[in-house]
Amino acid sequence: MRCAVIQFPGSNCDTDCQAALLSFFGVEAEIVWHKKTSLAGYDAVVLPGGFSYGDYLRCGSIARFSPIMDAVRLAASTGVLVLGICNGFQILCEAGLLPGTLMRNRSLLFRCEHIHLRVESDASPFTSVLHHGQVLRIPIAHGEGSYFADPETLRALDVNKQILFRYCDDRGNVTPEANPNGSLENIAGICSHGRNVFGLMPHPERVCDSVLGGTDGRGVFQSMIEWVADHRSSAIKQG
Amino acid sequence: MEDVSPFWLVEEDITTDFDHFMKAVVTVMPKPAILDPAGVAAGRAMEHLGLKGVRSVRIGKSIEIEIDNTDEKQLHEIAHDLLSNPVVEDYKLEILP
Repeated sequence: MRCAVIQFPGSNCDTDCQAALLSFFGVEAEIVWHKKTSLAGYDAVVLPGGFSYGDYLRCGSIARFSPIMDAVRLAASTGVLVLGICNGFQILCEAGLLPGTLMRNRSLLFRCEHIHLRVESDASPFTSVLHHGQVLRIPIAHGEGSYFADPETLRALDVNKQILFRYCDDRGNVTPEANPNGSLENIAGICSHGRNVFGLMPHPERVCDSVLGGTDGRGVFQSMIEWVADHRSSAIKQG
Repeated sequence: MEDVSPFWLVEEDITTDFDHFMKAVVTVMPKPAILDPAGVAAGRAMEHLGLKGVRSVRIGKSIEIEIDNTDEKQLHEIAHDLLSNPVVEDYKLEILP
């Protein structure tokens, strides 16, 4: 798998993502500057966490207009996997590649801690090696992670099983107390209707090896790698 | 004598025509149905300072634009696509004389 990690001015998890993919999965991961206009040849694209453009105006609102975003949009439309983590999720929402938006945490506090997530659907290129109902322990670090969408959008997300992760307690109960930011329906991560674009507020790249204090983030990347391998081999078979 | 003009004063950046520009103000507010936790917190602080009868506080932003020519249609596009997030915010565009 060849993976592009987009670097915006103000990204700060870009090299973490690249290092995790390279060291723990052997994935050929390359940093791609946001002024580039092509993503040809990549099987997957990661929009990393950070504070693109200093979060000026709104989180992700200026990055959304970066030159690379046309290429991200094109890649998404052709089925390439696009993963947005934290600020990357905010950028995908601002760009309209995912529905809804991420607002200021209801508590107004920046939350930097480990939380629990429940896998709500394993039918996606990002969760296929996980199983429905599985509980993961993954860190969050954000001040604007409160997911909001209008009621029709929420219903569509539910019906199409686009909600992949919800915040839960350590036993997998989705409760208001386990919600760190006030997200509607405890939503922590959603995928697109086509299922190849995924955004989440937690940072799976920070828990991909026991030296980093956890391995619960591995499943997301492992799923992507297997999905790309499967689709490559089927593409070769089809000639 | 040494040139002591500040480095950021570059000739081409300076608008020399001071008379012919317009001012546009874009006001962005959270939609009425959206909870504004920062507004709620500010309202509580107002009560704490003795202001009585605070019913609601909403925090938005105001963006002032000085511009040479006003293409109102384009300004509306900018206000809609960049300056506000239509999912949760409304904007108002005013062009000042």
